[in-house]
Amino acid sequence: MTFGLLSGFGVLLGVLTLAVGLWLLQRLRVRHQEVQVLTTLFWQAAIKETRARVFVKRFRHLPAWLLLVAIASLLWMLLSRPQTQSSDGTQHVVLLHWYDSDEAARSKALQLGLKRAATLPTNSREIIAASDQLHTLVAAGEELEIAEIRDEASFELGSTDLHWALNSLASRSSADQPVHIHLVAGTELESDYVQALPEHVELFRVEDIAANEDIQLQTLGYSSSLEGPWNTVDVQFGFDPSAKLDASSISLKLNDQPLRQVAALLSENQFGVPEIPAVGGVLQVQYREEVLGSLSLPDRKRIGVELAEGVPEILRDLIEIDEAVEVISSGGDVKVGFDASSDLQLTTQDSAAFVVAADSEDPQAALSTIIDELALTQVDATSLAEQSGQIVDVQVTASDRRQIAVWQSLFGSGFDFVGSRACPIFVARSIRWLANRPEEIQWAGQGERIKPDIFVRALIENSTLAGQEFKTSRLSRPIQEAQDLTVSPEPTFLYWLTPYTWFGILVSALLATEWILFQRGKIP
Amino acid sequence: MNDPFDLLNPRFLEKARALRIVARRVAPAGRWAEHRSRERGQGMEFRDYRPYSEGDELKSIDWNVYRRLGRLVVRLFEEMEDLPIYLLPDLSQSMWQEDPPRAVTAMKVCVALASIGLDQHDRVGLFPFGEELESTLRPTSGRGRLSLIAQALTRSGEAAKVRSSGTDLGGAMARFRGFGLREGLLAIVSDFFDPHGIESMMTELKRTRHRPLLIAIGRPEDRLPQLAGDVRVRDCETGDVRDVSVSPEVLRSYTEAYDAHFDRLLDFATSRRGGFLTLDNGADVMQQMASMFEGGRYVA
Repeated sequence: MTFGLLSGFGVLLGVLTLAVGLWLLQRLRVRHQEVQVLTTLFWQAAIKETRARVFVKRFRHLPAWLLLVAIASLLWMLLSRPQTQSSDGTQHVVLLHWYDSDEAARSKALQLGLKRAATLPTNSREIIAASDQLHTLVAAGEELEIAEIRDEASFELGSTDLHWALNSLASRSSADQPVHIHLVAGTELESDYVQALPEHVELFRVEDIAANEDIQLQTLGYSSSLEGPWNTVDVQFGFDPSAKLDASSISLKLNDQPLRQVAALLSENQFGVPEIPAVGGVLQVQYREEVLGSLSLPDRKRIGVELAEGVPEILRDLIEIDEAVEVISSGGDVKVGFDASSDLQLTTQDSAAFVVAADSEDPQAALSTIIDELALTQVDATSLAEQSGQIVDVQVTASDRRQIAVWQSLFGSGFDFVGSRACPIFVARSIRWLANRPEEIQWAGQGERIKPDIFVRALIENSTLAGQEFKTSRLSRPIQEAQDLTVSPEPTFLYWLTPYTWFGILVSALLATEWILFQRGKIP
Repeated sequence: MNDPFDLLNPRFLEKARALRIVARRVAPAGRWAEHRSRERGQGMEFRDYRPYSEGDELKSIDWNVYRRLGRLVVRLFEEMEDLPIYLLPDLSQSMWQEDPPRAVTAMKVCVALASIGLDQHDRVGLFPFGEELESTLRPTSGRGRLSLIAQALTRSGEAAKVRSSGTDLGGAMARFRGFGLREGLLAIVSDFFDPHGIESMMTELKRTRHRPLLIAIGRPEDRLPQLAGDVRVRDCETGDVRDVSVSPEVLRSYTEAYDAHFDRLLDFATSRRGGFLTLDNGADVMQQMASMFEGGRYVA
């Protein structure tokens, strides 16, 4: 808490601020309330009587003086940039390990380190450069500006072992004092070495993603292909509408291989890539070679269907032409036949036209949903009723497995059902419903919760995090480190309420109080 | 008749009839009036004997004394003469600051004194002053002259109100002394707030044989101002400003200075066998004057 560490401009600014503040206070002091009197004759005499302000006299304006002292003291503390200690006593060390590189890399490392250090408590953070030995660029409590001054002093550059540097820092602290080392380094660390570090030492990597800092994904997702084959998906991704994009700089990779398809512009900063093979794998969205987001694509295998002997020809044809379906002889996902074990059972007209066994505890509640899913609303039930002479209805029952029973006769020539648009739709939907392969739509927008198969880059890099649920807000802010700092215990909305801010508010309040008291004549 | 200051208010004048000014001995060479003169003359009231000297009228010899004592003495009688009353109202700017203005009160006091004097066949002269003294009306007598005096006061008052002059009591008295007027009652009606002080005024008055009647017009706030905190007081006449941090101690010093100022005026008037009267500008003028002049209590 001293001006000695301020830059020249900072000192000048501080002095000017102090001068302006005192000038304002002085203005308050001399702004007397003017009163016209018949004569000043007696006031002259009175002033003469009290002119001598000697120490033995009682101080006349103690409260006003105390108020002024409080304001001046707070101003002083305000200008000395007060900082709170780290809440848990953690020491932060920003370690720069690019000092054996060229000048540009050295400067880049320093800037990265300063950027990180600016987010850390002043009194518990230091910046250390690892060259042939450890050089302290900024000690705890010092201003960050001094780092560049010391850096310009230019000590001898030399290479050093990163492990040696880390071990040295780890050995400086005891077990009861946690140390967070923020590593700015180009070299990788073996996971075994990281695991072997003492428990009170935590390692954080600081990376530079400043190049595309302003270009961030806002949405990323896939859906079943609208026009393409069953085993393809359409991928869409979008950027902030306000971002100025160079569309030619966007590229896609599937399993680290450039994708054949080109992203098409759908709307402003919204892009789509149709018919990407859904065979698993990771799709990466890159901007200027920087990975902004990644997406795990589904592996959409065909639905295996077993067809029993005697299945109506029209039904067989409809199933075989379905690209999502593969007719197999055994071990299929769906069996089509006549017996009760069949998933799609062809029945006589003794039962209801459509009987659906749903794996739902409340089948009646699921009725409308099932009718929609199976496209039964598209069936012309009136016509079927006229042709059959029976009531055509849909029954839903509870079961431990999905099953659909339908009149076999509907697929014969006695009904015009097979000629209707509803028939292939019903068959296709039924096969998918029975195989439990709904239309896939995996989509994430900012602030939504999504399934774990949509990742941001950093999460993929850290395999231990895979499989968890993450907020997609991270899509808009790629994290800077492989392992980021733990979340601060302070609520986010209080971040701006630093001691510095509090002092400012307090000083403003005291100045306002003094002004009000002065205006009301409570203080001289 | 133009009377913006309501100087000739009948009720006011009616009350003035009860007031009187009694003179001990007026200076000789005056006109016949109601006051005893220092001159022994032809009056009705016996005053003294003195030895006969050549030239005395024979009818003034007291023959009864000569028959018993064999000495020639002449009888002397009281000479009754008038008392010149010189009215000096202060019409400086400080007298116009309030409502009602102190200058108007001063003019009413002058009208009241003029009314008393004219009723007693005294001569009354009018000399308003501020920084300068004017000889507005040379001494005149006659009960019918009151309106003349009121008109002269009104003219002087209207002019002074516009002129906004300062106060110079010493200069005014010096100029008045230069007129060489007959010894009389010198009534100065003022707030006595002279930035130059009152020393020069008292010095000039000591050089005359006039009997001073000092009538100070003020308000209680003059002595106990209702001010607090840091104030900048500005003199309404001179523009002089003083920054004052008003505290009980300062107020006490102020009051002491104020009291000392008027105590000196009182002491001076007493020492000159004159009179001193303070009038509250916010109270009834005639009622306050009655305390001094009613029934001839005041002897000039």
